[in-house]
Amino acid sequence: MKVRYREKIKEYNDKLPTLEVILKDFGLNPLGVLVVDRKTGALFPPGQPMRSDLELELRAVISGG
Amino acid sequence: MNIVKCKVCKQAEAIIKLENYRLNLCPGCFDDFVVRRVEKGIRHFRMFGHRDRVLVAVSGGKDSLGLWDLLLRLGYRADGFHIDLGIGSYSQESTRLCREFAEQRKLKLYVRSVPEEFGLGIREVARSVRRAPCSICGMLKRHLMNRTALDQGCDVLATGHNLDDEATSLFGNVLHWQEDYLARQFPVLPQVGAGLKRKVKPLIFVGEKEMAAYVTLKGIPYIYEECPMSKGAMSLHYKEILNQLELHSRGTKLFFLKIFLDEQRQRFQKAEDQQPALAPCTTCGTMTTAGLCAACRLREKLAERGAPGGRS
Repeated sequence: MKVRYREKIKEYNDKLPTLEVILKDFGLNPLGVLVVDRKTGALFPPGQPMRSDLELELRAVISGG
Repeated sequence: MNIVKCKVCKQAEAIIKLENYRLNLCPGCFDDFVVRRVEKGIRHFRMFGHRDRVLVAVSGGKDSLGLWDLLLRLGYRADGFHIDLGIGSYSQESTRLCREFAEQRKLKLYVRSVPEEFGLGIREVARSVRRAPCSICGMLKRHLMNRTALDQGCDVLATGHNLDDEATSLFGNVLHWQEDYLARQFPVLPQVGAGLKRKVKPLIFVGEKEMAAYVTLKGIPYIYEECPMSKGAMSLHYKEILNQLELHSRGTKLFFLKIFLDEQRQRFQKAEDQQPALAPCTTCGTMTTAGLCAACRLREKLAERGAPGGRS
């Protein structure tokens, strides 16, 4: 995972990936997580590229029901 | 910066992507979307009307608190009901969030406590009678919810089961061919006699992620933490499997559930017809297929084992 992460970081530096791309790359199902901006509490909008100043929280939405 | 516009109003910036509907929505259009899905569920299944008194079972989680908020916004008369399960800090936080929600909106919240009524928390009750905690918890929740609705004169009991919960339950029941459960799986369970209140699931057409996004956008604090008793539960695995399917084939969950409810459920009616008739519990009056209801039997078992919550 660490090797893959490093490789991805290199790739990301050139093209500023969106969160959707990152979730996919790390095998996370976007249906199971909600991405919240920790500073503002707002939802992180789709299609926006990641920025180094962002503090995002991946909140699992699956519950026992 | 790449700004994705809302697919409905085509003006505001989208803040959520609903993968299963191929929709990017702005806060206003997303709010309309959720409200319309709840209204659709209530009307489609004729769950209740504006004159009915609804008792909403709230756990402190996103679905139940979101449901309470949505029903009030839609103009329904809705009180809340919460059970303190006695699971340490998890239950304390759940109860605090429910009370806070009710107090801020000046709503009526009925709270029952498993430790107060049974002398033990859910984990200890389950251990005493050698049953799985989730099985005891489900049974006690059904019993206490129904008892409170009867005592408070409510017409209908509403729970926060969402589309994902129902599709998951259906998936599990089909995998194990639980015909009696399949026969009873429906978003409306009718009132039986004077002892069993009608039960409804108004979030039947709203997905889990949509509910999480709804309460986040509305600023409703909810408990993110999963119930510590549910670790390793098969339902969580089933949910993940269904989400994988949904990602590759959009609309799978809704199609699976809708076709079952509209067309396939009647196949299992025979299993329902073969169920023993319901009659009032000889002790508490709750409708049951045995002489004594499951909650009263539990009290007796606890008494046999000398547990504090047993009937003396």
